[in-house]
This record gives sequence, structure tokens and C-alpha cells, in this order.
Amino acid sequence: MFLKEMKKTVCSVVYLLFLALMIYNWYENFYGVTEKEIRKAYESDSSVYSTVTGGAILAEPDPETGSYGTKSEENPEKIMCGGTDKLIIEYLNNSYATYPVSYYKEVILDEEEQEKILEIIQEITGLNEEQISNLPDDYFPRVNGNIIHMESGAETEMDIAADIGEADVAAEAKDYTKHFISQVTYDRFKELMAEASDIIGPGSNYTRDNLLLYYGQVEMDYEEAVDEYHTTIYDDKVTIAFARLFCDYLSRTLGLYPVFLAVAMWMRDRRCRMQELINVKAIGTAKLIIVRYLALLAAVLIPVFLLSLESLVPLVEFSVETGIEIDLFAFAKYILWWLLPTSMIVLALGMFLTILTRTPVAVIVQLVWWFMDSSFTELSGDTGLFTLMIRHNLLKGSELIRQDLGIIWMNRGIMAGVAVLLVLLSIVIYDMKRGGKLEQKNKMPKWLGALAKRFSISI
Amino acid sequence: MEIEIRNLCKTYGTKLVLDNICMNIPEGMYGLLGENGSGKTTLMRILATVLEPPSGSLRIDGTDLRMKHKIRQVIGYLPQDFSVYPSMRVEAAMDYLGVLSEIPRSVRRERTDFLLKRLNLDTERRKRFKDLSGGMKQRFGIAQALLNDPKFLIIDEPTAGLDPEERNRFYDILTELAEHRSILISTHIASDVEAVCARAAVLRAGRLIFQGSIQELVESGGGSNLEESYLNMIRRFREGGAGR
Repeated sequence: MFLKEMKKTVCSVVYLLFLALMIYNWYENFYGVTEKEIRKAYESDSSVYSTVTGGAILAEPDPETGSYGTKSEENPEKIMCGGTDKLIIEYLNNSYATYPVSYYKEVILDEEEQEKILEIIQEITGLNEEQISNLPDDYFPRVNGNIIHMESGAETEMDIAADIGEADVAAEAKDYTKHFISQVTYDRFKELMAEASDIIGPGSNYTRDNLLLYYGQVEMDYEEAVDEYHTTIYDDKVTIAFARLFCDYLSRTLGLYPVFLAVAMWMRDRRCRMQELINVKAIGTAKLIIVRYLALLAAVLIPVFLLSLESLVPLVEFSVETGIEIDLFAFAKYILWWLLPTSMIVLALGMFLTILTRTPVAVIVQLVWWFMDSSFTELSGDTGLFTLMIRHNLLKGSELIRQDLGIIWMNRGIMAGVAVLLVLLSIVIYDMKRGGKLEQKNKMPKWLGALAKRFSISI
Repeated sequence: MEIEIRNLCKTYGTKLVLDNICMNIPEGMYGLLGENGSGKTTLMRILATVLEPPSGSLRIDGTDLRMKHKIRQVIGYLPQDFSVYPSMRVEAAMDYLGVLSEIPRSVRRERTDFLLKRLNLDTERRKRFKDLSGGMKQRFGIAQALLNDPKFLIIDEPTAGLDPEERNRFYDILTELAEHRSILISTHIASDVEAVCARAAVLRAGRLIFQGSIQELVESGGGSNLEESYLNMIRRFREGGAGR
């Protein structure tokens, strides 16, 4: 029966669409990353994931290079300088960029709010309104975190030293009207940024996370780069790093699309007027629901396992060639603990709501959940108890996963547990409906009846 | 095999759709006559376990209808309005429904072969369900209902949409199948019942106004044939007469 249900699912148009979307997302985001990283270990090429965080992941750092990429570090000076620079730019334009639900939104403040922002800037810089409006071109460094000053006069710290001579540099550097020197402590700065964030609204550039993200990047030294390399080779056994990134991308797909399969499966019986033929057969309700659920789960996860081979096979070859030991089962393990619970909850919720309402309302519910989860979860190291999709959009940074491991396991347990609960509830509801206990004619609320009608479902 | 129904009532909201039904369905073909909306389909669906057993007592071969799992093993049901996944082939659909009936693989195959031959669907077994004619679909409906070799076969308006020739062929098959089992056929066409059933019951607005042999039904209605008697009976009750 399992195979028949699976065949029914995989031969459907909805499944082909699901597969096409999953492969497209995988191809766009992950395809080729492994090959590129392996190539970098021999040549001089690397994928964007490792470059962003400090060079190729599989290449042993070369002490001659001098540049080993960046790492995230809470450097108060850099953060205060960058955060103030950005705030002044946005204040002067009265145009504040925010990302309240991951999408850009421009915020324009009223006079009173602008006044408060001005007070914050004044306290940090020690300058008056006029000075703030007419800052010297080289007040901030030319490259200041994610800000690049294109004005002709803007100079780097090295340019300044060359122009005015070593002796004057120290004196000029101490002049807070000519170059940025924070007039507040870092703790006070953080309080002021929190105030600015409250005024501007959620998702502003001045949240602690964003300040750290934009201005908290520092250069890694050789020893740190070697440590990072050893973490990848010995702790992550190479494959774990790739399995994490693979699961990160696939979790976005599996956090939404499987709901269409669940809804399609349970609406198909009704749409094809086959419900009564099935209901009157001797099969137990629990068996019917569990077998169908497992068939859906298998149909969702088998292609995921197959896609992981695109990364695993080259890594096996890399291991053979270099003698570096890899974890052959890393992908399988990560798919099971990272992606399985997500697939389980999405399918279970879709199944439960479709059985309960006999409408495709589960698609809307899942879309909302997926959207909210995507919006409020950072790309890495931001797992809560009820996070639907665990994110780790990096090849490196295994420490982020390790530090959150407790909460990640709890999260996965909750997702799997709730999924099992929803499957059990589905059995109860389906059994009642199968025996005519929840007759739709009497029990369905009017709005749901209208929705059902809209989707041409006979009640 | 006997089906025993006692004091059966069923309501939809405040509407009484079955009113204190008491009847026995013996072995053989049994007709259930009634106009549209008389409660035939509701009664059939209750017997098929897809509607909640209401107040009253219902027993199929001594087993209470509330023992659904047990009942589902001994009944076959052909709903009035049914279909199968359109792109599924006849043979595969039979096999799938056989799996849902929990029939072992070897028995399932054997019975599928036998039923498809018996119902003249053998040459259509590779056809997709959507490509079958109306008569073929009805015959498929009977075939799937017989997969578990049921003791009690419930068939709701089986000849709706069939032409006279297909209807006759369909009833010939049913007559053959009636040995050693009870078959309850609901219809609003009196001549169908006359052609194949030994006994019948008449429902009118949720009330049982007659049950007995076909001969008794003809006599009771005072007509020259069953159709005339049935119409007389309905007319009489519409005008406020009492039932037997």
C-alpha cells in the first residue's frame, strides 16, 4: 500500500511542480558550490560563501598571502564609527532604510522624531546641528563598514598621514570636529542606538545584530585562519560544512512546498468523487493516514537525498585524492535531523487542516508561517524554539551551530512532536468524518462553507 | 444473512429525514423505492457506515452497525455518485481498492481477474477510468463493491444515466450475484424493481409506507402493474392517506 500511495503521489502534476521548484532552488543556490571549493583547494578560485567569510574553505591558509578574509567581532570603535556615519547620512536625507519583515521599507520621520535623532547624533559626536550638516569630507573613513564615501575629499587614514605629516596626525586625530571620535562610552552608544531603533521602527540599521553585521567585521590573522581550516577539516570532517549549507537552502524549499502535496493528496479523493468508495473499505483509519503520510514524507525526502550526491560524490573524490578524512554520512545525518522535522510538520499541518476543513486553507496557513519565519529568522545562528526553518547560510561558522545545539535539538524535537500530534489528530478527525460523525452540512461554519464552495468542493 | 433495522430515525439539523424505520432485508434482491428526497440515499449511506448510525438499532448478520470495522469487512457499496482517479487504469484501480479492503495480494489478483471477466470488463482492464463509458463505469462500480466478496451489497440508484440495454444487462448481472447474499437496490424507477427483486419497500418523505413482496405491492397499490401501483400509493400518501 505504501508503494501504491507513493506512486500515486509521484505521478501527480503537483509533485512534478514540487520537484521542479525544489531542483530550481537547489540549482540556483547550491549547485556547483562544492566543485568550486574543491577547485580552490588546488587552484585560486572560491565560491561566494567562503570568500565572504575568509577565503576558500578547503584551502590551507598560506602564511605568505597576508589576507585571510574577515570574521565577525564586536569591535566598539568600528561599530560606533560605522553606526554614527550611517545615522548621520539617513538623518540628513530624512530617509531611513528598514527591513521590518525582510523586505525594504523607507521610513520618513516627522519633525519631532528628527529632533530626537539629532539629539542622539549630537550626544555621540559632540557636534552641533550646523557642524553635523557640514561635516568635513574626511570626517569618517572613506570605507566605513558597508558605507563607501565617494566625495573627492574623502581620504583613508593612510592618505591623511601622508598629507599632513606624522607630527600633526596625532593632534588632528584628537580633534573630534575633524574626525569622528565618540563622545560617549560604548554602553551609552548601544543605549542611544536602541533609542534610534525605537524611533525609526523594526528592522532598522541600528539594531545590535545589524550593527554587528555591517560594522563588526575584522580581518582574520594567519593563526585564526588556520584554526578555521582545522575546524572544517577535523571537526566538520569537510562534508558537515557542505551538508549544513545544503540543508540551509533545502529547508527553505521544504518549509513550504510539501504543503501542496499534502493538500493535493487529501483533496484528490473528494475531487475525484472517490471518498465514499475509500471510506467504506475495511482498512483502518490509522493505517490509511499513517501510510499516506509516510508515503508523502518519502516522496519529499528521496529527491533531497539524491540531490545531496552532487556534493557528496566530489567530496569523496577529494578525500581519496588528498587523504583528508570525511564523514560519509554527514548529508544523511543532517537531512534527517535538520530537514526531516521541517518536512514532517509541514506535511502534517497540511494533512490535518485539509482533513479538518476539506478546503486548501492549509496552503494559506503554511504560506503565512513560512513568510513570517523567513522574515524573522536571521541567515545564521538565529534558532528559536518554534523556528520552522533552521538557517545557517555559511560554509564556515560551525561554532554558531554548536553554541545553539541545545535549542536546535529542542526545536527539532518540538517540530517532530507536534507533527506526530497532528497526525494523531488527523486520524481522530478522519475517523469521525469517515463514519459521518462530523457532517459538513451541519457543522461547517458559514465562512468555511463559502471557501469550500469557491474551490468547487462538494460538501 | 439478514439485515435488521429497528426504530431508525435520522435528522439533518431540525429536518427529520428518516422517521422510525423498521424493516428486515432478507437474502436475495431487495428493492427500495421512493421519490427523490424520500430518504433512500440517507438510509443506504447509514447502512454503508458512511453516515453516523442514529437512534435505533441496526444489525447486519447480527453485528451492530456501530462495529464499523467488522461491518465494512462484510459489505460492498456502490454509491449513487462515484468515480475513481481519472487517469488510473481499471486494473490498477481494482488493485488499489482491493488493498484498501485489506485483501491479500494473491486473492486480490485472482478476484480482480474473475470480476473483470464476469462483468465484461476484461478487455477494458488497461483502459484509464476516464475513458470508460457510463455503463462500463457502473459495472466497474459493481466489480469493486464485490472485491471483498461481501455478504451484503448496497447499490444506490445503479441505473441512473444508463440506456435501456445497458440497464437490462446490468440487472442480469445483479441477479446472478444475488445468490447467497443480500442485495439492496435503491431506485425511483419501479420497473427496475419489478424486473429483478422479489421483495421491496417504499419510502415517502422519510417514512416507510410499504414493505413486502412485489405481488403484495401491486395489490396494495391497486394498479395493473408495479409502476402504476407504486404511483397510486405515492399519490395516496401525498393526499394524506395512511400506510401499511
